[in-house]
Amino acid sequence: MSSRFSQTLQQAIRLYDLLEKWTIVLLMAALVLFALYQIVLRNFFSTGIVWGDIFLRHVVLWIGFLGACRATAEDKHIHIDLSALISTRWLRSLLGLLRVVFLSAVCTVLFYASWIFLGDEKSSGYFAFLDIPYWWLQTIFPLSFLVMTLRSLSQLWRNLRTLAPVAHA
Amino acid sequence: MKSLVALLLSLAALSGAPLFSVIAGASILAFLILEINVSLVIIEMYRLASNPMIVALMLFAMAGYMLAESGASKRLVRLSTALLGRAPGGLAIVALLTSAFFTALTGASGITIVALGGLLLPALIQDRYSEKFSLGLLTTCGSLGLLFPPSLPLIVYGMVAEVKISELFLAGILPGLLMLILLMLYSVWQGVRKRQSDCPSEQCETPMSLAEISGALKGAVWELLLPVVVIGGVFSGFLAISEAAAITVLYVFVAETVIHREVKIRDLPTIILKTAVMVGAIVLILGASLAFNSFLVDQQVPNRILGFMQTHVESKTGFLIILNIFLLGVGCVLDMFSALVIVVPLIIPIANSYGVDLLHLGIIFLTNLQIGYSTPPVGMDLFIAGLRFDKPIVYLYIASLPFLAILLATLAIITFVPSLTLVLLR
Repeated sequence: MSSRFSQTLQQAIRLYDLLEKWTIVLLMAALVLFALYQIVLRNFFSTGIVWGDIFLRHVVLWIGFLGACRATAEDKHIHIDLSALISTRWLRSLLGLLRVVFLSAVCTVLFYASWIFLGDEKSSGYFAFLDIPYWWLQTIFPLSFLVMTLRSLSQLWRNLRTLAPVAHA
Repeated sequence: MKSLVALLLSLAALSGAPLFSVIAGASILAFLILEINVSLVIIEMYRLASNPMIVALMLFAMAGYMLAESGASKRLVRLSTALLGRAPGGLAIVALLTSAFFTALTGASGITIVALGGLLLPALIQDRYSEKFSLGLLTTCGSLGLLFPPSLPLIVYGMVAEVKISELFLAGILPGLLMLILLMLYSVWQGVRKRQSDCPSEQCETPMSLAEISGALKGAVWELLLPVVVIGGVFSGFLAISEAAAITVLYVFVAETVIHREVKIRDLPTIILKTAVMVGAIVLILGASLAFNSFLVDQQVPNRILGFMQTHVESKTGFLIILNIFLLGVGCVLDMFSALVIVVPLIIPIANSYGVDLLHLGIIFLTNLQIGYSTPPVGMDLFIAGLRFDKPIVYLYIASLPFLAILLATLAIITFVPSLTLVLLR
């Protein structure tokens, strides 16, 4: 990989990370403020926004799946941790490799599955609220699984690079 | 073929692959074998967006993280020390009460051990409690309070079992109190023994300081009123659960950012990201398990287990005993959220056929999984406490044994006295 390409790639990754984090923060702010606004409307003005609940649930879906993308980046998914019990270095490396290969494979299939799902939903043409079609809200599935696939593949790449000297030795 | 798939999935899980990927992988492979379009996995995951509790889950978690970043834990410890610190076992009771309060609000995510453990361990040791007792106590404290509203595992059980969350909140209160009281009695007994050896003849007791109590009370009043806001809001019928969650976020924000000024506005993005990562991990497991459960139902797995149970187990008591043994095993190998989303849908039809109330079932589930949190090989509390206190896991496990025995006794009472769970609902 040429160093220029690698630099641009690193920069793009940093930019995306920043975008992802701020999207989560803004969505959470929107979630809290909108939920409070609805309480005020309901209790003090005996009215409400008809599509409010659907909107809130989808905001949570977006925060959740973007959060899951961050969990992949920070290696904070819920998992069984037996590493303390395994002292052999090569066995630990091997299991680490299996872990990322499996994760990458599953995320790739989930990305493919969500792509098909999105296509089906797009052709159904239903609207969620206002003039927003459902499939716009569902783009979070392919988006998040694509990001998780790329992140797990980059982990795999890093694992293979650290494994190479071990195997060589 | 089936055993090959099972071997691959078990290996992946043991290698430390995220549990959502193991559950989703199982669904994908199952759908491929059955020649069903794999996009069904996502269709099932999308059912998450029709569950209103998902909003409450996110908001309560957000409030919990905000609280964890503030000095609330210190204020609560100060208050209960002022009230109980001089009594025999007082400091241990302080640990139990503050942990239960804190875990109910922050969920069993290990925050309690991280936030309170560092504060309480030196205090306990200084008060001449043995290291073993102190470590066992604090490790157990990590998941104490799960049965009290608005704990996240209660909400997740409610989502999966489709029972009313407000009723579930009520159902957990008495069993949670029983657990707390039994642990307190043990602590008092330890405290009395300690006092006899510390000062066999002279009077050790110092009087309570009213000034300290009033100062500590003033400091912690905002945190003390929080349960009133949550529980009062929900049970007065004034607020829906997700609305109570939004109010809780606002309340904690006002208390910790505006009044105490401990959580700065610039800290909020970090707190939000921490919340999103934790809830994101739970949401993905929930979503993946929706797909996996649809496969299990399609294959009539719950019905087959039900048929098997009905031919081999006649009584409700027999069923409950087997259920507890099974769940203790599950709690040892799976984390609470994965265990809930995978096992609850399998057990519900069986529990129904034996006439077990679903609210009672929920409390039995959570008590079992709470015990699993402090048992090897994957008890999360043990790992977190091991990291936090820098002690070997085996030592912590041995230190937790007396507390585990008490939790098991509580489990037996909760299981065989259903009215303890259900009396508040009648």
